[in-house]
Amino acid sequence: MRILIATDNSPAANHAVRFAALLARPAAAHVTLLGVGWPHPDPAWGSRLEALAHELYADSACQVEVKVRHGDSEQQILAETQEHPYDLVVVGSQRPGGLRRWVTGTASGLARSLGQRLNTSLLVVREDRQQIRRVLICTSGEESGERDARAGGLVAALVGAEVVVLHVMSQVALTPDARIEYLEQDADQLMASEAREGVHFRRVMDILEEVGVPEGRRRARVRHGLVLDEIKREASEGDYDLLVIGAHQIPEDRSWRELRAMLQENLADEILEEIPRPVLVVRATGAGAWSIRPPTQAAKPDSGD
Amino acid sequence: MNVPGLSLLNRVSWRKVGIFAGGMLLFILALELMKSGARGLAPFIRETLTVTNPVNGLGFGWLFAYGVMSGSPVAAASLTFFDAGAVDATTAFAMITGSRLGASLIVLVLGMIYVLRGHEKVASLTTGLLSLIVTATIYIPALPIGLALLSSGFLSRTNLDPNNGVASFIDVIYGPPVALAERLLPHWMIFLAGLGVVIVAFNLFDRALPELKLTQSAFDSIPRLLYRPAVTFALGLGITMLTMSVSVSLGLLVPLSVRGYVRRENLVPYIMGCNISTFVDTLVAGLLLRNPVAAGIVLAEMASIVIVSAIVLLFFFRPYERAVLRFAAWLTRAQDRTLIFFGLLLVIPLALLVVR
Repeated sequence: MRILIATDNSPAANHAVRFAALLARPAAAHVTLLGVGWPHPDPAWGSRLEALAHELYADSACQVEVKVRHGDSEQQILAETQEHPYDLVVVGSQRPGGLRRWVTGTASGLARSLGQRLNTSLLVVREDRQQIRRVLICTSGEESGERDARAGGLVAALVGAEVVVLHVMSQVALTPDARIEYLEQDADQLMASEAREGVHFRRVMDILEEVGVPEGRRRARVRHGLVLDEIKREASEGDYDLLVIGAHQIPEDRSWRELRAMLQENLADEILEEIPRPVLVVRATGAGAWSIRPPTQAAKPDSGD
Repeated sequence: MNVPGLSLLNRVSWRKVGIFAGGMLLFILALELMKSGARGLAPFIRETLTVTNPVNGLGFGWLFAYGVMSGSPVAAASLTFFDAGAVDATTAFAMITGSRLGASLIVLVLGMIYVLRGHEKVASLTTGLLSLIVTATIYIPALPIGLALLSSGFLSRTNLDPNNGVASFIDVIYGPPVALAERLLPHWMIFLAGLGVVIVAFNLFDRALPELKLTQSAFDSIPRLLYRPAVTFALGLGITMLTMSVSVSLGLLVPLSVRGYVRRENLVPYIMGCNISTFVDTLVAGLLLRNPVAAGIVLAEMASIVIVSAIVLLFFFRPYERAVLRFAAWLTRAQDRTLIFFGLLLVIPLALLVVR
C-alpha cells in the first residue's frame, strides 16, 4: 500500500502525520512524507521531516521516503499524486479562526478541495487521536457502500478496531400504499427481512468477515432522520476514532462532472465540514486497488509505540 | 419512410389533448357561471357570513376548501367574489391563501383514513403533515408581504388582461348559456353550478397528465440520491406548472421510486417549489376574468411566496428543514397530540372567520 502523507508543519498536519502512522505501520506501507506549504527552499525543513520519519517508522516494516515540494500546497499534492500512484493521501485540516471560519466554513479549504479533486482516497485528520479503537462506516445502502465498507473494514482489521456500519433511513413514504414497514425498523429487523437495506447489510457483514473483522467486533446500525444530522449524532455519541464515507466518483467528462456537482449534494464535503473526527473518504479508483494487508497474515493490532 | 415530425405526432396522446381541451372549455364556463352567481351572493358573503376583512377571508377560504375537498376551485371562486365586488382585493388575497391551507389538510386526511384502516401512523401521515407544515410556515409569513404588495398597487398596474380576441371569444361562446342560466336559476344556484363545473374541469386536467412508468428503469436510482435543495425546489416548481396541484405533483414522484419512498431532504424543498406554481391555474382564472386586479392578486400571492421561499432557501434552509421535520415527528409521536392538532385545524379557521 502506498500512502502519501502531506504536512505543512501545522498542528493539524502533525496530528495527521501521527494518525497516519497508526495505519501505515501495521500495513507495512510504502510511506511518502511530503513537506508542502514552504514557498522557498528551506534545508532545515527536509531534515526535520527525516527526523519525524525516523521517530515514527524506524522500528516498523514500512519503507519511508521524505520529499519536499515548494509552492501552493494543493497544487503540489495534486502534482505528486499525478506523478506517482498512491492508494491513500493523508492531510491535516486546520480549523480556520474567526472571520475566516464564518466565510469559508470549519474545514480547511485544502481538505475540501482535495476531497473534490483527488482521484484517490483521502484521509483528513482534524484532531489528535492516539489510537483507532472504533470505526464508523457510513453506507448509502447502494453498491458503492460495499466498496466503502471493504476499505473501512481493511483499516479496522489492521488495527483491531470495532466496526459499526451505519445507514441512515431518511426516506418517508409518498403514499400510505408504499412499503412502509421497512421505514421504522432497526438494523436487526431489516437484516432479517428482504428489504434492500437488509440485503445490503448482510452483504456488508460478509465483506467485513472476509477482510478480517471478526464477529462481535462488527455490527450494523440504522438511524432515522436527515442523513447528515444522524451521522453527526452517531459520530459524537459513539466516540468514534475514524469515520469512513464514500466519495462521489469523479467522471472523466468535465461537463458531466460540473452538472453533477451542481445537482447533487456532496455529503463527503459536509461531513468534512461538520464532524471534527478523522474522516476517510473512499474513492473507487484508489480503494479498488487497496491491498492493505500486514506482511504477516495475522492482523495484529498495532500498539503504535 | 420514417418522418420525424410524424413520429412525434404519433406519440402525442390525442385523447389526453382532447381531455385537456375539454377541461379548459369547462374551466372557462365555470368561471363565467361563478362570476355571474357571485354577483348575487355579495350580501350573503358580507352580511350573513360576515367576511369583511382579510382575517375573515383567510378563515373562509380555509373552511371552503374543506367543503369542496380541494383548493383550486376555492381560489378561482375567491377571484370571482372579488370580480363581483363581494370582497375587496386584500380579502380575496387572504381567501386564496386560506384555500391552499385547507387543501393541504386534504392530503393529511387521506393519510388519517389509512391510519384508521390499520396502516402505521407515522409513515402514513408524514408526507401529508410535511405538506401542511411547509405550506403554513411559508404562506403565513408571506401574507403580510403579499398584502403590502397589493396595497402598493404595483401589481395591479401590470397589464395582464387578455386581448380582445379572447374576450370576444368568451362572450360569444359562453354569453348565451350564462344568460340562460341567469334567467332560469337563482344566483346561489348558478354559483354552485359553476363550482361543480370547475371541480369537473380540474379532474379533467388531472386525467390529461401523462402517465409515468419509470419503475425498474434506468432512472431507478434517481429518487435515492440526495440533491441540492435548490434543485428539488426547481423540480417541484416546474412539475407543478404542469400539474397545477401539489398533491398531484407529489403523486408523480411515486412511480419514480419502486418502493414509493422519497428522501426527507428532497421532499421539503420540492413541496416549497410546488407551493409557488400551484397558483398557475388561479393566475389563468384571473386572466380569464378579464380583470387586471384579479390577476394582480394572484401575482402578489406568487411573488410573496417566492420572496419567503427564497429567504428560507438562501439563508436558513437547514434549520428550517430540521424544525419542520422535528415538529412533524413530535406531532405523530403521541395520539392525543395528533388529535388535538386535527382539532385545531378545524377551530382555527372557524375562529378566523368570526374575528371582527
